[in-house]
Amino acid sequence: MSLLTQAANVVFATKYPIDKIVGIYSGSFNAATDTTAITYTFIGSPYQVWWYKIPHTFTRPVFCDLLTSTDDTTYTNNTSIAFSDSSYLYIYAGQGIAPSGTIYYKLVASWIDNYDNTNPAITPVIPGNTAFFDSRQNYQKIYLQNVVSLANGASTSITHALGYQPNAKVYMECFSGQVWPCHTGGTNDAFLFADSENTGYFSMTNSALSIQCDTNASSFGVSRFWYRVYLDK
Amino acid sequence: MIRPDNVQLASMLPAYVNTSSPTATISISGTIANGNTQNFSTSLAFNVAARNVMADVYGSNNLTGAKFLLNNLLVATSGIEYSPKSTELCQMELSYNATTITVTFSVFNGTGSSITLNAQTVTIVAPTYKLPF
Repeated sequence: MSLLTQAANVVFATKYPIDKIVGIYSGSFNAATDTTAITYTFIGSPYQVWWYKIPHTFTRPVFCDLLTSTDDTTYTNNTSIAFSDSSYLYIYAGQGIAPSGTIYYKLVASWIDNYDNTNPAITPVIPGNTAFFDSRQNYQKIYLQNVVSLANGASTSITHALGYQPNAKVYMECFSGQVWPCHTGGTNDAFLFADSENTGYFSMTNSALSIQCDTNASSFGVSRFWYRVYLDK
Repeated sequence: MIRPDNVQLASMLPAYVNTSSPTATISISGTIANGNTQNFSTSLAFNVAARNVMADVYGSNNLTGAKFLLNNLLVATSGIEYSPKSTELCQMELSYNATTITVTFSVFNGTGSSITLNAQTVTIVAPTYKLPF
């Protein structure tokens, strides 16, 4: 039996790509003085959201995964969110009322293969004490990855033959030129703060990955969704 | 410098080193009076120093047969089955402390009358990654 028939059970297989980290950032910022307010239109009225911006030189957006904390002891990744465009990584600091206090962050930026045709030469932003590969540990092996375009209200089902519910991650264009984690929890979602914002939801079954595109009121247009279905579960 | 497009593995680019994948279950059932909130919670221990951990936290619901990613999911209306969803709110909390990841679903009943939740189990699995924070 070929080892690759059991690829889900090996830590790494050259047949399957893995996520490529291009930036690791950690630190803290003053939410009152170090952030930038962006004014959106929400339910027809101006609405401010504050972001901490980290400049980057990757020349195009990257996937962002984020943890934040207000005390540097207990971290969370579901009361905050990060996204990127071609120039900056953005960390959410607050909305509606000007934020205050210190926010600690841990942000990992990973590469989007073939985001466009530029294939830029980049310099990774990696701390010196990083373990780049450890054969004793497992890696999330990418079984399927691609990009699909969905308009507001549209959905798609990407079939797989794994026979179990695999791990998967999806990122999307919430606004044109910005790549966010795919998120939605319904009409009360705290990260839906613009009428033109697209958002999305995804789930996995034994046979498919389903992606749904939603919006608040007036979609900016078609969103691209980048998906990764892993062999791991 | 490196051109990362279509590179499988590069010595210049670290990967998510998956050190463990703890699992736990959250059983959801019972009656919630109007205006009340019911919490359903579980904790998962991980084996990396808390300072260096990040995880992808997934939930798999036995009623829907679907698995969903809890990262960035603050309102988990789509992960838990109950009705009517339109007048209830399900908040999801995900926190990392020194040794554990805690997952909490908080279901608020705003329907105007008492409700009985569908009995269901959400299986949580959290691939944890060691990162040099």
